[in-house]
Amino acid sequence: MSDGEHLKSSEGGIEKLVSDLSAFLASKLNSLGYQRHGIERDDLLQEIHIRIWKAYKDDSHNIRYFNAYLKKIVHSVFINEINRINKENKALMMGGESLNPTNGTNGHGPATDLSLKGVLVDSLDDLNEPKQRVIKLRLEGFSFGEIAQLNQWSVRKTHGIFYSGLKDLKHKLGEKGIRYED
Amino acid sequence: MKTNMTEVSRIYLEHLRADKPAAGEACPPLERLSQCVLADVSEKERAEIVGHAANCAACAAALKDLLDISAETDRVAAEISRSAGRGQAGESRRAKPFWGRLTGQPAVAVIAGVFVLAVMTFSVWRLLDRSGTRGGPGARILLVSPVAGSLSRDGLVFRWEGLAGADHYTVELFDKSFKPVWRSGPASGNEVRPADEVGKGLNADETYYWMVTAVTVDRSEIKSRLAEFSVKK
Repeated sequence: MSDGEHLKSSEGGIEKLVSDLSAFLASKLNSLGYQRHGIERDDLLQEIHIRIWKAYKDDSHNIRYFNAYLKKIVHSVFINEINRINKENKALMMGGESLNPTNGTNGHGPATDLSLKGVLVDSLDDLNEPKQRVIKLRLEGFSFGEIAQLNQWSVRKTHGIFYSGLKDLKHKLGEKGIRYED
Repeated sequence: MKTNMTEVSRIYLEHLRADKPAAGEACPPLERLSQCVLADVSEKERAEIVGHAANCAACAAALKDLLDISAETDRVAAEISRSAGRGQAGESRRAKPFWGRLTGQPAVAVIAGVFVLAVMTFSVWRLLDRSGTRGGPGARILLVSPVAGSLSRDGLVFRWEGLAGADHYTVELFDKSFKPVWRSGPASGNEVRPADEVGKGLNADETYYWMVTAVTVDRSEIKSRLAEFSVKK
């Protein structure tokens, strides 16, 4: 394959990858409930396309840093969209309508056992800071890998802190008459 | 009363949603959350941000989204790097020396290989250093100058100690990669002064090697060891 053909085919491949990434980002925003605020999906795709291509062209001599550069661009596009939408929400709320997308589910599920909730929250808050941080993030649905990445720890260390914290939590709950079952 | 992880998780999430504002004033801006995910904050700030997210459902959700996006971007960036063409792929490969990419068993194998090679080289060098292997028992040409150090181009004279039974000598000059640079004609004395052009043709501050070969009356050859020198600018 000649250099020209190779470049053409690789640019075609990159074009598809960038489209996939844009689509992923758009679906992510949609899943957060932003679609009802009229995000122009095509605008978003175009914005990401332009910025990634520019980054690729500018940075292609230094591909080592391309990944970090790309992440910054994608984060920045995502955040700009959310900030734009939140701004619009604020304006709408002033008009009496609450459309905060993060309130898509209001969080008030079935009635919670208030005594258990009180004991649990107190017991969690009694743990030392790293154990508290890991267990709470885990309860919020983060994977061990994600918790490790956020804290810049190894997964092994994260596991260790989690299981040690869980042991402490079981003990504290046990003292208050609540038996934790694995 | 009994509980388990699923129930604890549900209760904790309900507590966060019910008792905390979705995005209160104390929440860090999204840009800070993004910097935290991109490892662009100090350790102290990281602890504050992640600690806050552990107690705030809205920030935890935003962090999770940013992590998801980062993971997807990582995947796409890797794909783009792969399809970016031979030039960039080569660049990427050159980015890290091969020894930087070696880990585990391959690294141990390479280290062992280098060690064995070093031992073999040392053994060969020890063998070559024995005078008996060069010129027979007792026969040895001792090089006098230049040996190490740098000298002027104009003063290039090769000197050595004479050898009993030698009929004549030949001097050979090599560059740093042992490529022959110059060879003298037969010399009967114990020194050779090359033509000025030879000295002028040498590169400043580069290492050169020279040696002497003695030809005895019975036509056998005895070679000296190599000596090195360089010339001044």
